[in-house]
Amino acid sequence: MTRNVAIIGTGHSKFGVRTDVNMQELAWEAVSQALEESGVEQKDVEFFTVGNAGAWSSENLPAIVVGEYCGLNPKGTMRVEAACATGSAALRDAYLAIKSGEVDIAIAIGVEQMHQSPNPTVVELIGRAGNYFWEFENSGLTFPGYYALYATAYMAKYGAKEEDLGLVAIKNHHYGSMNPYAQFYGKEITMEEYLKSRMVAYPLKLLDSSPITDGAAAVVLASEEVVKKYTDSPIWIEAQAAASGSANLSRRDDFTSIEAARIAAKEAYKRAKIDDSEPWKSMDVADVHDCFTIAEILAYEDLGFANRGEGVKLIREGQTKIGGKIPVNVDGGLKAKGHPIGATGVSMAVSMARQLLGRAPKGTQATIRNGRALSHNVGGTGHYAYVTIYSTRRPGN
Amino acid sequence: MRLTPPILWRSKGSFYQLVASKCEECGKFTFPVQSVCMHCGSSKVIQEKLSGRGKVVSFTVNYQHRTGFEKEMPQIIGLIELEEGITITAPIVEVSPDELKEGTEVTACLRRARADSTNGLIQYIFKFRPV
Ligand SMILES: [Zn+2]
Repeated sequence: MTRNVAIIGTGHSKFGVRTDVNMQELAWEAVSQALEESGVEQKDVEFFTVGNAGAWSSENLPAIVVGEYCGLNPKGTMRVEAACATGSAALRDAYLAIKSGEVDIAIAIGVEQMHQSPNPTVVELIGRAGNYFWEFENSGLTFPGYYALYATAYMAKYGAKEEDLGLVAIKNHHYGSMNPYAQFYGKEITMEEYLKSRMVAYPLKLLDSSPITDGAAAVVLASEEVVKKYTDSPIWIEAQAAASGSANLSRRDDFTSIEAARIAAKEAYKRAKIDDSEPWKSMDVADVHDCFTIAEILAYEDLGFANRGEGVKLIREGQTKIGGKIPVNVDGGLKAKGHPIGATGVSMAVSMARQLLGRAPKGTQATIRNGRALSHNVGGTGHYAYVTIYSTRRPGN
Repeated sequence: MRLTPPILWRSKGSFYQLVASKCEECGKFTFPVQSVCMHCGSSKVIQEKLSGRGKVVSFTVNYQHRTGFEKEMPQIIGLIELEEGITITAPIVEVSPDELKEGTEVTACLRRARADSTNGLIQYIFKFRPV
C-alpha cells in the first residue's frame, strides 16, 4: 500500500538575472535553505530529483553537478524534464519515490539558468514547443504566438478585452512587488504602462508575458513514518495528478481551454475527495501557470474556479486577490516572480507550503481557513499538466 | 534544421503537398500524416490529399522575430480549420490583420519561405490567403 508524503522543508533562491553564480551555486541557495528548515542532513536524504529543462545552459548533467555540490552524492538521482512543468515533474518523482515505500526522505530540486544563452537562442528554443516542422520551422511562430492563438480565440468567443488581461498582469506585479524572491520585487505596473507595452504576438504584449529567469527552488519531502522526527507542522501532499496533450497545437479540439489541465485537475480533485463543482470553496490559495496573462484566465476555468467563459469575470471582480473568492498567484506568479522553467513547479510548492504555514511575505498572506492550497503547472502550450493539492491535515484524517 | 537537397527530396511528399492520413475504421483525418489514427488508434490508414480550403479559427500577429524570418515581420499566423475537419497552423498572407476574423475563408498556396545561401536551395512552404 502507499503512504502519505509531506513537505518538511522549503527553499527558494532569488529569481532574476543570476549570472552572478553557476548552476550548482544557484541550486545550493535553495537546497541549503530547505535542509536547514527541515532539520534534515544530507546523509539522511535517500533520493533526489533535479528539474532542469537545460538546453540554454552549460551543464549537461545537472543532477550530478548539483548533487555533488550540495553533498547529496552518492544517493540516486535523475534529471527530470517536462517543459515548463519540469519542476512539478521533479516534485512528482520525489513524491512517488516516498509514496511507493522505497525511501523515507527525498528532495525535489528545480534549477534553471536561462541567461546562459543569448536571447534569440532562448526565443528559438522555447519556440520549438510544438510540432517541429509544421509549427516551428515552417511558420516562424514563437512561444508567445502559441498562447496568442489561445488569447485571440478566447477573446473572440467570450468578449474578453485587452484591459482584462492587463488586470492579471497588474495583480501579479502587485503581489510580486512584495515578494523579495521575485524577479520584479518592488516593481508594480499601471494599466497605462501595460497598454503601452510593446506588442510581442498580438494580442499579447511584453507585459502579458513572464520574463526569462534564472532561479532555483527545493523542497524536502518525508514519509509519514518519519515526519514527526522533524516537524510538528508538515504540509501534506494530499493529491497530485498529471496529464498530457498533443504535440501539435492544431490537434487540440478547443483553443479556449487547456484539456490536459482540465483532466489533471479533475483527477487531483477526485484523489483528494474534493467536490469538483465548487473546488475553490475548499481551498485557501492557488498558484497557477500564468506564463502569459491569458493562461491565468484559462486556468481559472480549467480548475473549476469559474465556469467556461467566466474566468474573465473573476479577474474583473477582483475575486482572485487576497480577500476574494480564491487568491491566485499572490507570490507574483510566473509573470512577476519569474519563470525559471525547471524551478517554477518547485517554486509553486514552496509558495503554497509557506502560505499554509502563514509564512508568506508581508502583504501577500492569504487567509487560511481550510488549510488547503493548489498548484497548477502547465508545460509547453498544454503539452504537460500537473495539479498538486497541499494540506495541513494528513490525508485520510 | 539545416536544409540539404536529400532532406528536401526525401520529405517532398509531406513538405510540398497537403496530405493527411484518413482512417479506414473511423473515417477521421489525422494531420500531419501518421501511420496510426489519432482518434481510434487503428493502423488501417490511407493517405489523402487535402483540398487546402478552410476557415480561420484564430490568429496572431507575430512581432518577435526569429533568426531567418526578419523580412517577414510582422507576420500573421493562424489556426485554420480545413474542410476535412482538421486544423493546421500556418502563416496567412495577402491580408491585413484588421480584415481577418474568425470564420474568414482561406485557401492554401505555396510560397517561398527562405533561401539557403550555402547550397542555393529555395524552400517553399504552405501559407494561406483569403479566398
Ligand atoms: Zn480512426
